[in-house]
Amino acid sequence: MLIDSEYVIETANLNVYYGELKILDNINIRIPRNVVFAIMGPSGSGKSTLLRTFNKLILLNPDARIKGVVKLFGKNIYNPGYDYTEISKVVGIVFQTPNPFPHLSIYDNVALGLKLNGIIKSRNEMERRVQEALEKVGLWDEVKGKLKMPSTELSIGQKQRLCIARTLALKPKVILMDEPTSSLDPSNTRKIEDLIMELKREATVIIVTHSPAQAYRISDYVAFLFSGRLIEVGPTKELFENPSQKLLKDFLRGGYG
Amino acid sequence: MVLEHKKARIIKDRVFTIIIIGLTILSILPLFHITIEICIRGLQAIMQSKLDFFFGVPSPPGSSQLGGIWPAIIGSFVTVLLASLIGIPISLLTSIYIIEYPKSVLSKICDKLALMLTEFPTIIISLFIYIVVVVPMGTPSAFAAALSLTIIMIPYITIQAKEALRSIPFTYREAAYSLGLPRSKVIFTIFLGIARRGILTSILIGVARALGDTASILFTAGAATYSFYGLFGHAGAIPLLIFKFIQTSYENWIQLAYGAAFILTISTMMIILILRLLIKEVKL
Repeated sequence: MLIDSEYVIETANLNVYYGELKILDNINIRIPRNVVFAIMGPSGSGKSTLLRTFNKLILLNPDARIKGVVKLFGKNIYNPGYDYTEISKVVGIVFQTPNPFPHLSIYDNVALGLKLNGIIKSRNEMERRVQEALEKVGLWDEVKGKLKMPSTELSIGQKQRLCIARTLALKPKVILMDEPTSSLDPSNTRKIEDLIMELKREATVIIVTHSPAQAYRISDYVAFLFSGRLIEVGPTKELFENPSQKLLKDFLRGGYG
Repeated sequence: MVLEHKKARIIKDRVFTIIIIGLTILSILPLFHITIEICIRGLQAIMQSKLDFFFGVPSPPGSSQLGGIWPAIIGSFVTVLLASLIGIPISLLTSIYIIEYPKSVLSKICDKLALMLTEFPTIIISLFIYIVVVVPMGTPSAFAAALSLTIIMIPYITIQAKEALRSIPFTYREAAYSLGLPRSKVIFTIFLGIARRGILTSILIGVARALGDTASILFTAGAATYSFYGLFGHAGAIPLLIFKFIQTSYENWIQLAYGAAFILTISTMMIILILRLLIKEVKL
């Protein structure tokens, strides 16, 4: 399904409504390959909603309606026949609050997607993939002796890294992150930020953040959203040094959010 | 003046507390009385008959021997088991449907209907099964009784299971779909797993409810006293035996009724206790 497209994600005239309420207003955005792309803006600006349009999770909300196009590697994912199974082969997501499945063990959390989608059948291969994913997030040494323990036994920072491992196990080409560090302490935040910069070698990371400092530290490109509109988008350095819009200038100075 | 005011307040407070405590005791007194009465008289009956109480049939009325309640025990077991086999899958699927398709008209109807059914007089359910099953088949039976109990069970399990599923945070739904799991796997491996304690509790409540219900099988079981006649023959049940025997004037049958009441109470309590201990809560 991977079409040789210059951009991993392209939206065209994307509008999102919750009932009658317009959440996203005519978003046109293009995200290149193997970069860290930050979406920032104050609370309620529609960042998380925009992120969820990239893998259709938005449609789990029964009130949500979509108008416009979201292309994933050149193909509109809102065309019929494009289901979650298809999307999950390419796109993974990490949520704001760590949410490993509480009834499953650490091992099963990572193995679940591979197992239930029938991607891997042999046990050895599965163990190798689980270990590989846990090593990538730096969790392997901490949990290798207690893989069968419930995931709820982990600390919150470990839980979030487990969630990233759960996503990485499926080897996604695009990784969506919805404020992944907002419930973590500085040391865990640091670990995850380092990980994000490494991940861009093999995938494109799209991260939602309300913190300009974080966007500056880790991203190559940044998009600024304000009340559902895309105000400005461009390479991070340029945008931070030379914001053209007043709204963005105020945001960077700490005026909002 | 100020002091007096304060005093009055303290007295008012005391009086009110005493009234509340008194009313509380008053309301739980019958419960204690029933439990103690059943335990004492029930245990006496069981002690007198020993193992024969569980494996024997009732002695003839007026005899000095008690005999046992085996036909009622096996009748209850078979009818409740059959009711569970039919009722539990229907209830769970209904609760899943209500949660997964909240906007459909059918789902809203199911939701309201389940709630109404819990308040429904169970004697009417017995009458209903009598008309649609017992009359055409020409005889009351364990099968007809099981159908009555199924109807008793379904709304309880449906409502409790629905609440258990509803309490799962939305973020797990998002995570499950983002891993590409098809809807059936999201429901059966993720949701039922996270809510397993709530779901099992719902099943227990339904089973316990069916085990103790009398009115719903009044016209449908046939209340056999001396034997179990198979799935399509007359069947006894523990609550029916209590209902029938306690009204007689034969001392040995009245004692049997108390023994049966004790068994019923204990088995209901045991089901709930054992499963509470066995099933661990999923911490979120």
